[in-house]
Formats: sequence, structure tokens, C-alpha cells
Amino acid sequence: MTSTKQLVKLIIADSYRPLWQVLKIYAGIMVLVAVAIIHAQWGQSVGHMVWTIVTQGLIILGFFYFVYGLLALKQAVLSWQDAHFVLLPVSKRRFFTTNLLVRFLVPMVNAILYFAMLLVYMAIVKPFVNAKFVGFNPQNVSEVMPIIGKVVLGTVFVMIGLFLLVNIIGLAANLGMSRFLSVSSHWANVTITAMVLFIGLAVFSVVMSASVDFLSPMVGDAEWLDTVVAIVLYVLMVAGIYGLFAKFNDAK
Amino acid sequence: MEFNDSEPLYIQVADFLEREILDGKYPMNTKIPGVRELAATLVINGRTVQNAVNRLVESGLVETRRGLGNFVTSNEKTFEMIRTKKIRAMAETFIKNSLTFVSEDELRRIIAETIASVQKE
Amino acid sequence: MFKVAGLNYARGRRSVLQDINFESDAPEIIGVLGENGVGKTTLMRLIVGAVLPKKGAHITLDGLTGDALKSAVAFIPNLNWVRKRDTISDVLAFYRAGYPDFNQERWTEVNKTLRLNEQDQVSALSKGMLERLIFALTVSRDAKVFMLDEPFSGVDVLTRRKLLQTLIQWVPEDATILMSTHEIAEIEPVVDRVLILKDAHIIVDQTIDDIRDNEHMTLEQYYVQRYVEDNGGIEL
Repeated sequence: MTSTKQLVKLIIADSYRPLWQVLKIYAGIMVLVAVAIIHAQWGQSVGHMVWTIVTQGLIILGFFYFVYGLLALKQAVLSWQDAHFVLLPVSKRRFFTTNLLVRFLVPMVNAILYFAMLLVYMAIVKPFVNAKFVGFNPQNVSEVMPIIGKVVLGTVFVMIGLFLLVNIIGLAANLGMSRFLSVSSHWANVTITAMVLFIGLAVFSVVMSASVDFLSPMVGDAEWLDTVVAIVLYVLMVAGIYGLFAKFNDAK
Repeated sequence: MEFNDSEPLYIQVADFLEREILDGKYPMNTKIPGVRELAATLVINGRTVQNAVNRLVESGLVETRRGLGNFVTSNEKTFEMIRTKKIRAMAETFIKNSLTFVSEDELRRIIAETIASVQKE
Repeated sequence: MFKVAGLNYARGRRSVLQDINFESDAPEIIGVLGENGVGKTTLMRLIVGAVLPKKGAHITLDGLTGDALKSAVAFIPNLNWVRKRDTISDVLAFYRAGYPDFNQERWTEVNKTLRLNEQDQVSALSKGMLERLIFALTVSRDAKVFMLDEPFSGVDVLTRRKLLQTLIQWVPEDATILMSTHEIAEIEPVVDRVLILKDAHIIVDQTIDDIRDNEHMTLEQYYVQRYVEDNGGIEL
């Protein structure tokens, strides 16, 4: 049997694959952006130029991380049917648990990394450009931190739900297609990608448009019943994914 | 190696090995390759080769020496007997087939002539 | 003893395999024959657990079933997952890390014959080289059941010979090998036994010796005859 440590390593390597691609494209684009900024701000101080590049870079990086997140999500959905993983000498239950956790944690860790970068950026911003941040008073960072903490926790909670939802829908749709329609794996792949992108975008836009008011009740201030209902729902989804994987799987 | 249609494969492999031994590819009292090696070279299932070798062991042409492998017999009498038996069997088949459409005299004449012409070459 | 009993599989309403039963005592090489789409690949996928059969199927290997059985079966359905830039050594690294029974020594030995260059990109390999790679990765495990799905498709005659020679030489003596192929004449001297599949069923399960002894036919002649017979005597 493959050791869990090895399995985790292999899954992590697979989850990072889209990230390397995305980062390579990002690096390419950043070179272009930097050139454009240097050209546009020629004559200004070097510090100013660097500053603009860093700011733009972080914003664009956010977008690329988002794309990576969606690709990792797609990768996660397809992994349940990926023969080169499914056929590894690991029990179904161990593969299921490890795969679910690692496939969720790797993009999550990356997202947290990004937010950490934003925080560092803000901490650096504070002494230099006090006035520039609208709606954010740097003097009150200590007051803002707990709110940020809540937002992060709430986001993670929503992300878990989103991750589970996309996985269960994606797997069910994929299995249904290969079982009953005998759709070729290529088209199943394309369809599933499109679907995941669509659901991902839809949910993400909902999450983003919702304010801190929406997220904060999910932790702390929330009615405990809401939290319980959500957790029960999550457990059901996990059981559902396991059921589909263990009872109906069709690895390619 | 090529196989004919109906005979079991191990008999054909045994015949093939017998011919190689009688041809002198494996002289008397020398080791013949192991079953796995033979099987791989001939691209034939190991079990079939084993059966073929067993057949040769039964006939006495090959002897199994414990821990050492299979050897062509060192017994000259056995070797000679098998060689004669083989040529007799071949001659018998040839003559039987020939006599279905030529007379005995004609066959003798043809054989003598053929031998003469082969020797000239 | 490797045993498959009561195996049924349907895709939608179409029955792909029906009542499949056979067993094997190692060492044995079994040829799996049948026309395209008859379910040879599906049979292998069912055995390894990549797809799940209908209820009532029993697949056992010396008493092992399920996940334990899967661990003792060597089968690589494809290398579709390999990315464009991946080299053979990347793929090798995956199998080495993922399978504790991967036998590096055997890989090296087998590779002396098959001559795969570990620096080559997998996506740039020809069909024949790709089959060599799948073959080498499969037989390099210390498994009890090896399954090769059409290892000769798109492979030239010399390479076919090499693959068969490698198989004969390097596969452990306690193993059962299942090999599907259309190269009937070529595998006849190599296999112990054949399963011939037709219309979701096994219509022949016989040793080569039996076919030659009892039917006085080559495997290929017998295969054609049984297919024609099964069609009610109508030539294909």
C-alpha cells in the first residue's frame, strides 16, 4: 500500500500543476505591465514606478490566483475519476479522505498566502500613503484586524461549501454522462470544465458582492442553528461524494 | 521458429531442439540453455519449452543434472541410437509419401542420381 | 489462485459483459481475444476496480478482494494524464513513488531491451514507444496479476517480438498475465490459454494444447471457426 505521506505528496504535486502554468502566464504579463508602466511614468521617481508596479502586480495576481483556484477546483472534480490516482494501492476510504482534504487545502493555502501578501502590502502602505485608501483608516488597523479575521473565517466556511458543492455536482454529472450517455471523455471533460467555471464564477460573484454583514453572521454572531444546518449539509455532501466515488466510480 | 498447423506445440519445439542438437549446435555433454532463456529466445511459453525439454529427457537425448541444468547426453550409444532413429523416421516418411506415386525402382534411381548431384556441389 | 466469478457489467441498458467466469493458477499467460468493442478493456478495468461491476461479482486472488486485490494487480489503462512537458523519468517517478512494489532493478533490466530514453518527452513518443513505456512500467511491478491491454497496437513486428521476449523472461513465476490482442498467430506460442469473448460472453476458455490436441487447428483457425459458428454459420 502507498503510504499516506507519499499519497499526499503526489496529490499536492498534481494540485500545483495548474498553479505553475498560471504563474508562468502571470510572470509574462507582469513583464509587459512593468514595461508599460515604466514607459507611461518615465521621468517620475524610481520609487514611484516600483510602487505602481507592485500595486498593479498585486491586483493582477489576485485575478490569476482566482483563475488558479478555479483550475484547481476542476482538477479536484476530475481527480475522482483519474485512473492514475484511483488505481494506486490505497484503500478507497484513505484515498477519498486524503484527496478531499489535500485538493481543498492546497488552493486554500495559496489564497491565504495571497491575503497575507495583501496585509503586508497594507502594513507598508500605512506610513506612506495615509490618505489614499478610501474607507480604510490605517490608524485603526488593530480594530480592523478582527473584522478581517471574521471575513477570512467566513470566506473559508463558504469556500468549503462551494468546494463540496462543485465536487458533488461535478462528479455526479461526470458519472451520469459516462454511465448512461457514453459521452466521450473529451467532451465530458470540456463540459465539466465549463460547468465548474460557471458555478465557480456565479458563487464567487455572490460571495464577493455580499458584504461583511453577510459573512460575519456565519461566524460568531450567527444564529447557532444556521451554523448547525450548514455543517449538517456539508457532512451530507461529503457522504454523497464518497458514495458516488465508492459505489459508481468510473475511472478513466 | 515456424509451427505447422495441427501438432501440439511442445512436440514441435521438442523436434526443433532435437534437430539443433543433432546438427551439432549443442554438442554431446554440453549444457543447453535454461528453460526461461530458451523460451525467451524462441519466443515461446516457458511451460511449452519445459514440456519439450521433458520429452527430450524421456528420450534420453538430454539429461538433467541436479543443480546444474540440462545437458546433452554423454552416452554415445544413446546419442547414436537417437540419431539413427531420427534419420530412419525421416526416410520412412519420405519413402512412404514417394511410393504413392513412383515405383520402387524409379525411386532408387532418383535417390542415387540426387545423391550424386548433391555430392558434386 | 486468481478467480473471477459472476461478473456482469452494463452501460446504460447495453449489457457489456455477462456472466464472466474464469480462474487461473499461476504461472499462466492468458490471451484475451475478441473483436473490437467486445469488452476486453472493460474486463480489465473491472478486475482492477477502475469500474465497478453489478452486484454479485466475486473477484479474488489467493483470498484477497477489493482494495487488497487492487494492490496486487498491475495495470495501466493509459497515460492520458501525462502533461506535455513531462518526460519518461517524471512518469517513472510517479510509479516509483506510488507503488511500493515497483521493482527498479527489473525496470533497468527490461529497459536494456526496450531502450526507452528517460529524458524523452512522453507527448513526443511514437505510438510504439508509448506502448513500450506502458509495457515496461506494468511489468516492473512485483504484482501477482499483470494486465496488458493491446500492447501490440501500432507496434512493429520486431518490437512485438521484443515485448514478448521481455514478458517471457522477466515476469515473476507466481503471476497470472492477461493480455488482450488481435495478433492471434503471434501470441499463440506464448500464451497458455485463451479466453475468446463474443457478444458479452466468454465463448471459449481453453488451453492452446487442448485446441491443438482436440481440434487439430491453430488458434487463429479455431478463433475464426468459433466466431463463424457463433454467428449461425454465416461468414463474417
